[in-house]
Amino acid sequence: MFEDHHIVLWLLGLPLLSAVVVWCLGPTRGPAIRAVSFASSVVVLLLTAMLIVRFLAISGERSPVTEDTVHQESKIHTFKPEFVPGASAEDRHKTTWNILSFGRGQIQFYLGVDGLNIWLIVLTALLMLPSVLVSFRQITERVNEFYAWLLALQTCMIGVFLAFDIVLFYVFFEVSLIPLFFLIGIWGGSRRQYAARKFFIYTLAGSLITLLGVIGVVIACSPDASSKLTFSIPELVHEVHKNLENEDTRGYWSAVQLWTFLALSLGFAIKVPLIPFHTWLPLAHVEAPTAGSVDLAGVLLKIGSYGFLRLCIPLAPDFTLVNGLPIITWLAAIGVVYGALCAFAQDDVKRLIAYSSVSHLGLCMLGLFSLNAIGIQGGIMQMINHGLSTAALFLLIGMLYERYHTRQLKDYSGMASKMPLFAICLVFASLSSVGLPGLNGFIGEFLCLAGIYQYEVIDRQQRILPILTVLGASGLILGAWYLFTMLRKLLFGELREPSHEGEPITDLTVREWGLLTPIFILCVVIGFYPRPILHTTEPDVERIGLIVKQARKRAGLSIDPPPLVTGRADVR
Amino acid sequence: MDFTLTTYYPIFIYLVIVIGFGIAAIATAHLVSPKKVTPVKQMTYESGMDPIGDARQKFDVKFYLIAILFLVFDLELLFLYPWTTTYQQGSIIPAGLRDIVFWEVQVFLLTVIIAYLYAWRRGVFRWR
Amino acid sequence: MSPDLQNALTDFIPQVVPEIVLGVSACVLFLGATFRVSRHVWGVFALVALTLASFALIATIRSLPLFTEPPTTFDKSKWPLYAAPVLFTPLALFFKVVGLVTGFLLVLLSWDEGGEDHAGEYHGCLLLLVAGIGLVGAANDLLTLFLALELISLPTYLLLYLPRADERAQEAAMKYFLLSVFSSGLLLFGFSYLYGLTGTTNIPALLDMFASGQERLAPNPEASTQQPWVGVTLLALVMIVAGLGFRITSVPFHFYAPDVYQGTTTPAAALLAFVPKIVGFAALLRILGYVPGLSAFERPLGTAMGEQVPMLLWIMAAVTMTLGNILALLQDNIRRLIAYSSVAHAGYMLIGLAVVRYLANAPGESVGGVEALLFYLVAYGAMTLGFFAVLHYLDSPDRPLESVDDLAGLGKSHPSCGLLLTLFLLSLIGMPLTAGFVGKFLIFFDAMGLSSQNAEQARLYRILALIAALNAAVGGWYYLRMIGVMYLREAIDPLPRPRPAPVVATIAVCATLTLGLGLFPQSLLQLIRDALPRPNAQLVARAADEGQAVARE
Repeated sequence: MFEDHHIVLWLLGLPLLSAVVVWCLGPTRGPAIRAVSFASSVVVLLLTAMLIVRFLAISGERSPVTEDTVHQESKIHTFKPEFVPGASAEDRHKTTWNILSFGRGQIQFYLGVDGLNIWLIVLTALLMLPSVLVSFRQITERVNEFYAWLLALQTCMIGVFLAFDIVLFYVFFEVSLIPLFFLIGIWGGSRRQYAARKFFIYTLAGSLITLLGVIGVVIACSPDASSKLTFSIPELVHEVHKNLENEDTRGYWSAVQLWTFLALSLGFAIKVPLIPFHTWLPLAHVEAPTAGSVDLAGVLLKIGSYGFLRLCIPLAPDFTLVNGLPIITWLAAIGVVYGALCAFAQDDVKRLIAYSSVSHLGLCMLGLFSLNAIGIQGGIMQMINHGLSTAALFLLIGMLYERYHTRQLKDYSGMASKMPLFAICLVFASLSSVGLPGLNGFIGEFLCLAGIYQYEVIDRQQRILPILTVLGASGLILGAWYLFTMLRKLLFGELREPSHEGEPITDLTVREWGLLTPIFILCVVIGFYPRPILHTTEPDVERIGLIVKQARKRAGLSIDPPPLVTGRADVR
Repeated sequence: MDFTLTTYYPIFIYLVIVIGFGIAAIATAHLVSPKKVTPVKQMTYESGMDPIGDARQKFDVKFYLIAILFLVFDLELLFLYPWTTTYQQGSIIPAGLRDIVFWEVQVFLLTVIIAYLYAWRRGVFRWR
Repeated sequence: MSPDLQNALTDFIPQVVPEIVLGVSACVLFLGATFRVSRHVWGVFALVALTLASFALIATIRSLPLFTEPPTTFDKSKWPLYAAPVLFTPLALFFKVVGLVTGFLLVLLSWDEGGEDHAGEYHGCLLLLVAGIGLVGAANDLLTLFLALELISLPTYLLLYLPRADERAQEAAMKYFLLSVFSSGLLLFGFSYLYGLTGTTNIPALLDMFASGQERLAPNPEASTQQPWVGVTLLALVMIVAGLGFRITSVPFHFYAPDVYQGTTTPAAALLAFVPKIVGFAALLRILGYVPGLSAFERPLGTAMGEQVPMLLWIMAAVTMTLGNILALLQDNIRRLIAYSSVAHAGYMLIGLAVVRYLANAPGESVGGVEALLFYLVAYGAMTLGFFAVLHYLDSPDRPLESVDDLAGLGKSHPSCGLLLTLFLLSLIGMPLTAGFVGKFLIFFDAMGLSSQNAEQARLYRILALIAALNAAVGGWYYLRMIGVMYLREAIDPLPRPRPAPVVATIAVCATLTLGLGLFPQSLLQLIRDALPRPNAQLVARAADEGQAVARE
């Protein structure tokens, strides 16, 4: 019997199973290993396609959230951002098993899908395909281990997004370090050891503080020994909200929120990365093999921003609104400009793209932390778009590196005449990354900026210069500047190739074309028709919007801003 | 739930006095004592006899083994002697516990015998 | 003397049958070794003896009064039961089982260790050690406790000395001997003070007296500093904690560990890393009155020994883990590194001990602090013994495995060994899906979980949790260094391929435990919960009332 909720289990189980199979095949059976990995990633992609179809079919029935429902105690469960495919109204927890009992509560193996995570799961599944394909020729040593770690990494990433138990989330969050540590450390560039260790320790230190935050939230939600202990994220959100609405407990909770926010956000800020914590990222990107870079930039960084969205904002709404918002938005805005300037200064193409990630994710965080529906949707769009376009850029640079074994910009010139197909693809990916209207990047960037503009103009209640918007927007211009500079140096002008021995240099092969095509198709589709994504995320974004709205009431801010920006309707 | 540092003051004061006394004793002895060094004072035996050889003589390690074995039996004696004198007195060992005490001593003796046999087999008594 | 009391003093003998079996077998091994020189004969004999002891343990469980009705409160009519020198409680059973399993693992681990002619003595010492663990877990009297601790110390000296007679091993054995004797002296000193104050060596009676003394002082807390005997108790407790701190390698009694671990053989180092920790924590739990159901008679748990003990443990925990981790960063020798890492882990475990007083009196399924401590202890044992077992497996006389660099390229030359070492190291870091993570999670959870009734302490212990989290990150660095060396570097002089040996069984069991407890922690946690009687609901309610009364003031 294949029931709907089995999809979710297979999404987790299949890559793990394939990883074990691949490992057992031994290092010599290269073709079999590649076939198994490829088949596994194709099947996972098909499973996510099935998931979307089911999800779209059901999403119409999901109960809409209105403001009136918030005040009725019985309806507070509408804050549960949870949806399990195949679950009925009676049995909502078909994908839940108890792991560890605390007497007063359970740590559970609790999976689910909702508007916030479904597209990130799709992104993970989609990017796995090019990661596997691009490594066919690049990885020749210890092949079985490479694909095993890659598939294990996919399991962890899907697990982070699927988890609805806060400890389970943390477990996947932290385990995802191990595969990437080995991917960078064994198959990376010349300084791979240092890069792998720095990446691991940086993230480990942050995530241990996050663990304290996780435990702190759980314990604060059951203040005395007789109350129930819960680890499920929806229930925690519900508890926090209930306590904040209650006059008696609000004082205690405003103190708790400070520490919750700080502890949780440290681990996520390192992962995103926000500006003072970003130093591991360029190093890790430069040293990682192409597949590692693709997964790192495409998905792993999103775990950070997803963590903010899933845990930080709903679990500490008041503090986020009053104090967290200025801190994070300023860090993000500085990151946008700083990342762009750093990118411009790089000579190593991969490092350039790594810094462009810092810049783009700054914009994404800017959108998420504008804390209004437009901005949050923009942030989610930006996560997906950055995953697609940056992955494409990394893949292309990886292909170039495979041919010439150098990534220095000064070594190249006029490659467009030598490799026209490559040039077309690179220009396309750059345009998508820059945010050309009609391609995917534009949607996310526009919504993010609209969101932060709305915050700046309306929340501040005064006619000041919206400096954050200006900084964010300048990121777009600077982005165009450094990417086009890169294109000019790399592709145009007089042909100058780095010295290369052995085989003659060919343009992109069919395999390389094939692995880029799905990404490019999606770029165009999202650019012209983002409605499915916006539509599916909308109910969950509105739930977060309601949480924030309640927080605004408590903070004494105006609740209904005049609709200065009507961007969302236009985009649809 | 009273929690104050004052609870610890006696310990701190105690520590300060103990350490202070130790340092003071050494320092005073060093400062106050008269220091007149003469060759005669430096001699091992002030009475005038010249020492022959080093005081740290090598001693055959076998003697230590014998000494340790002697100690074992010595202590056994020390332990058994009071037992034999009090075993029958009801005021010290209640009548109900007499049996168990008896057997405990037998176990003790057995253990000593086993240790003795072990030492024997390992050649402790062989003067090699 | 009442017949009940007499029965209590005589009836305990059936309860120690497993220990008697082990002791007799040890005697046979000592004598037998002088007649027959064979590693395999005596190894098999030791395994058989351990199996017999296990059967004896199973046979004794059912006949015991404390098992048929676990004591949730003290029943006055049964008090002579508590006068026995040895009390077979569910918690004692837990320690006995841990001891027996450790015994099996150690016998298999050190199968090929040392000279063949001393194999019998070696295994005999191991059996005595196992008996000692069981007795420490069950000891109900200061004298029994001390004797049981010595039953572990004395064979340990031999085990350090027997397998290797070179200068470094002798130095290690000597160093351990002198410091261990010193710590025993401290412990005895503390015990004698307790005896002098109360006139009894029976632990429940002792705890009861202290608790009632505390209660009498309670109306006037200021007076407590003037009462001379409170100060002396504190002095005695400091001595006892110092004496046992040596065994659990807590700072400042840790300094022997690196030298001794480095000097001795790998199996002996494995033993030193785990066995003294079990008994040290078992003894601390008992003396500090942190064992539910058996501590101060009708009072909330952990109050008997006063307010200052948790503070002392707090400081020890913070200093121990910080110093251990920082010094481990500087090490190049693997065993030295693990010595400091074992110091650091002692620090994490001390957190569990430090929070007991504030958590144990809450109702519910769990006994805060103790549970986390015991889980961590088992997890730590599995991963450390496993780690040492793999090292021992790879080590050979012509190619000794000493420095971290000797591990280079292991991931390629010995894939399965590399994978297992990585598993144990990840568990030591505390990565999820391993036993180490669950242990750390439980410890952190307890340290964060103080109720808001005592806000001052709650804040203090959150700081401790933060220190522990930062320490875990620091610890990640040096464990990761070893993983990095194994996988990210090429071997210059690869290790030879080892022959299969009984140590493989130890590795397999430890790996299964490390991974199994990481994936399904509930099984062990349930065992631990069954071993710890729940605190009485009435006591809990009273403690809560008192807490609220204090909070109101």
